[in-house]
Amino acid sequence: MTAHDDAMNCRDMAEHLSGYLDAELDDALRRTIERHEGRCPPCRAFIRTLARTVEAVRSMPRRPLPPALKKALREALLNTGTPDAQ
Amino acid sequence: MAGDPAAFEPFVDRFGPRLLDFGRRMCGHREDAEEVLQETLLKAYTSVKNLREPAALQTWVYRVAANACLRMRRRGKFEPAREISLDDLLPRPGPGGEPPAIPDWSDLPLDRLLRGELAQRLDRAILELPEDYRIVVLLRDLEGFDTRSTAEILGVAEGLVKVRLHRARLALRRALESYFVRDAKGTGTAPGKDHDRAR
Repeated sequence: MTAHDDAMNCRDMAEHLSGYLDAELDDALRRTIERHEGRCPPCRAFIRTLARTVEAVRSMPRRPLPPALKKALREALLNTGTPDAQ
Repeated sequence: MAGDPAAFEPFVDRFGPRLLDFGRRMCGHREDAEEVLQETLLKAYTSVKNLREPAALQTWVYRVAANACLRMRRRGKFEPAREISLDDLLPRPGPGGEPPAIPDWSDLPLDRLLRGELAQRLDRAILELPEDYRIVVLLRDLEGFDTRSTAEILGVAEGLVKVRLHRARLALRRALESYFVRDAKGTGTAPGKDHDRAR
């Protein structure tokens, strides 16, 4: 992205963005990124769209288990026997 | 659950849909995902009584599933290990050093991101990740494990989980962004119209 007369440039900041989104950074690093984000529109858009990507993955819908598959699993279990029987 | 076939039902209800989805996204094939699911559930059912810490059941189940998925992949077509470079995933300044133009689609509602072409693009991008990265992003962001549990499931260092998660997320972000960049060039649905429709 761009160079800044900031404590951190865009490239350095980009390395820490998942830690930033996951609230895993120490306070000093988090504040540095917040200051940078406030001054740098491309990085702001980058962080916001990265956060949205993570939200999208976390929200991906799950499909229910097909009844036929559930039935097959039950039959496989019965054929396997119970743990105590082994 | 151990020894009680009736207890298998709630166990399947709890883990079945999640494991099937995890297997499908890891393996890319429904049949392989079903095989992973069956292997994992039966192994869990027959071995769970030996689990020293019942609280760790979920981590243990996913370790079984992850191993089954990785075995399945190795049994299939050979896929050499690939690494993702951070610099390949970051926007580059323009030829004159000007800041890159980054479309901000972050206000697009989630239901728009999770259906139609964008959802397909996300699904495909997950499948196209190298498997070492794909399994990390699925465990962390889809299944909701923390870094420590993910490292435990995969038997790798927490630092490696963090690196792979970050690069996988960046790769997925770029895959979604390409939809909007393509739109901005006028070759697809206009993003402005999408935003307007979604609001």
